Amino acid sequence: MALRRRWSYVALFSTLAMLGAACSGGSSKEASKKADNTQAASPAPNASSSTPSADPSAATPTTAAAAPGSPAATPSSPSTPAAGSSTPANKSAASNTPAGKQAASNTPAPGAKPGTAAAPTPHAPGPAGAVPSATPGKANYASDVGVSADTIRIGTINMTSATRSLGPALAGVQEQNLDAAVKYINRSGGVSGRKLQLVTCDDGGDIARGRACYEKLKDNVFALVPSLTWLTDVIHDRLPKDKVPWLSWGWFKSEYEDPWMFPCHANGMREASQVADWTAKVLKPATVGIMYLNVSEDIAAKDVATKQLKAAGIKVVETVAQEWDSPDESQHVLAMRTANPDFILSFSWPAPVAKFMHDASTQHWQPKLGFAANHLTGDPGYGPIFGEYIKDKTYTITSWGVPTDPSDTDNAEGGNTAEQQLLRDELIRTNGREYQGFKWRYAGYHHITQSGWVCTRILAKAAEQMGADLTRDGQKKVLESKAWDSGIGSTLYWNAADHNANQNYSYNREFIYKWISAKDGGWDLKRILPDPVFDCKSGNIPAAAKTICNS
Amino acid sequence: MVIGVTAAVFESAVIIGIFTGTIYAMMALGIVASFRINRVVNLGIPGLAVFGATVYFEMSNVWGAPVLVALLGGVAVGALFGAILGLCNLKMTAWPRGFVMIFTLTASLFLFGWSDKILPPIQVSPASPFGDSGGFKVALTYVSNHQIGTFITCILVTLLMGFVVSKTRIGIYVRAIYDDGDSAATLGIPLGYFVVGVWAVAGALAALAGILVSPRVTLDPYLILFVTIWALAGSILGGLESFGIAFVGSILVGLSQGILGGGIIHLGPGLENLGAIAVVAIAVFYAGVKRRDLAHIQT
Repeated sequence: MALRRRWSYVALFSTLAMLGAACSGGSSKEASKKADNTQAASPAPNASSSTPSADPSAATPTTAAAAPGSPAATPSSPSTPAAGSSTPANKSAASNTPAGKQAASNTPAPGAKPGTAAAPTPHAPGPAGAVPSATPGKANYASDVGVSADTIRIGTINMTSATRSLGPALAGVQEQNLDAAVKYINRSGGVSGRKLQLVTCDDGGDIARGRACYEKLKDNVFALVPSLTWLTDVIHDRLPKDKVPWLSWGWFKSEYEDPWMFPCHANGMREASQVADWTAKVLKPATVGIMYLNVSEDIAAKDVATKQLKAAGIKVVETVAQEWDSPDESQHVLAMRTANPDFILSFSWPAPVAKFMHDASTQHWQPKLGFAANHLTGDPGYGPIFGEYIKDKTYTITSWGVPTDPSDTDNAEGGNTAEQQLLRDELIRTNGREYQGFKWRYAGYHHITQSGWVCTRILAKAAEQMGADLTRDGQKKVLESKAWDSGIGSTLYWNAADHNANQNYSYNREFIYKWISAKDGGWDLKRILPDPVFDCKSGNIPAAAKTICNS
Repeated sequence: MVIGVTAAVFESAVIIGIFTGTIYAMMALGIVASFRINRVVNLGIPGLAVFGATVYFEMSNVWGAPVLVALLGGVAVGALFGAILGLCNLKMTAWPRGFVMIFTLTASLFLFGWSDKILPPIQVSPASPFGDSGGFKVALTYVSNHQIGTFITCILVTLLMGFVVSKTRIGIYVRAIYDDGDSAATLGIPLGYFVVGVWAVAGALAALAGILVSPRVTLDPYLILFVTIWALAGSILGGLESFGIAFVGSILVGLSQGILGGGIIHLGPGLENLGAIAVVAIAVFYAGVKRRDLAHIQT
């Protein structure tokens, strides 16, 4: 008995000792910190493979991310530059259209300079170090990760197989847009003698798979381009360490806080800020109701808009939090109906918004001045989902111009530009006539897929500036050195000191469209002027543009 | 908490809540039916609902079949897959109930995937069997023919199922199998036919629910899965055994959502479902304590 009790004491003290050691945690934390410091101080892990021909596999296009035995992440290379297409033989084909001619020769179109540097902006100071430039006559070599003498590999991670979560409808189309951009750039001569190669990885909308994709791609591609993946909200601990430039889709506000991310479209908060400002200055309602999806990004959007509306003396009389799985929105229609706002702003998801619209329609009720909804409501393919109700009463905000009917003369400088025509021509050339249907409308006019095209073009332009000595560090500096005109309405710039937010808004402007009835009785969009502009002094706003300046 | 609520607003919220509850009740009936024979919580119900609605959508919207034919087609396919699930249940008689329940969940996921393969990559909303237009105004809200039709169908099915279980020879056999399957078999009741038959009925009810629910909530597997979760909550009030109490429980869940979401009481974002969650909590507690009593309520 006494022996058993003694062993009990020994066990108790041992347990307490182990608990104490575990809880103190000092040593292990210190160790990890040291490890981090060491890592930070030493050259980047990929530096060795950036030396010319250090690793033949790194320069082999097919190896890229396609590690065997890893079903979680399945990279593929749809845009391997074929020998036949590596010459700019198709230049003539590209120049069949005025847009093709213009893009191939870099001649600015009236009011649009696709992919070329715009005028410097007062809010976009140059980078701390010197901006790299090409050394004339120097031969190409494997100057950094994912770069060889004749190829630059770029990567994208998309939720392509997430069947009910933007997968086939958007992520698959995103890859096709990127593919079209890469093929167009290669056909037009490539990037200073190198061809682009797109390496894709499907994360199925799963962050863990997304991380696996990233791990595979980071040592094989030079940079990442706009990708539909939730990963862009959680990978910020890795990008600065790995020094991987990522021209990202811009969905999350955290992307704007990452020095290695270059968001390529306005996120929800920015849209909310712009649309609230536009509503206050253009529509001038006395009262507003707000509905939003009950997730952090859209709650933040609601808060930004509420603050801005209050500052303009507009009362927010009702806020309704929607759930994406809401089976019925009648109760929210009732809530809005009871509050009776002049206008409703929506920062939500298409499904509950569509239900709200249908229920409001069956209740024969609408706010006096209508609705303004985020870009998701403005995707041209979505018209029928919202029904007849949305016509003539629903405004949407989007980051890029959207082509509309030729009779919409207001849209010439935003939507029906040469670059828009080029985008459409190249998508059809790459993907065939299926793009004439739903997918084409989505691919061409959805602002995330548009961002894919725009930012691949910008990446190529920036890389071209460095010539043979293409490096990730250099790419970052070049991207931050100036403003980039998309050619489809907006100009992007990423301040070297801070890519973030409201004082350094990476978009100079956005666009407002209104749902109307198409000539065939279907759904169409119409450009509504003036445009919302974050800061009239900060971008390449055409003098003739009608804008509302948000200071 | 109640702030200047007019009678019209309250009436509207109640009406909205009842019709939201009807959506849950339709889904709850299939859950109760399959549980009523062999005590397995059938998580295949949302899959059967989605697949039945998918067949209905394909037949009516894509092939152009008359609505009634498409309705029968969807329900028949639901019954067929329900019967297959019932047959699998028979083979798993010796398995722990929890494992069988997980098996039914995998069946749902399989049917979700299959439906995804068939449906276009956008959210679709099938035509209502009761017509897409028409209705009347009550207080501040508008009640559509579809909502009325669904409500009446739901009540009729609830009454019919309650009648069959409590008043017919089939019902007696079903109750006997539920109480003690082995003893029922020794009495000569054909256990296999009844399990497969009742699960087929559950499948048909699920498909009917999917067809009636999807014109309102859209034909999206995950949305219907969430509807099923609220339906499960409603049916728990009756210990998963009573069609009538499952109907009432589902209506209570809908009512709480209608009243809290209709702007009558502002609880803040995310808390709108608090009333529904309270109903669920009370139901679980009540059913747990009174389960023996409720087991003998045959509505």
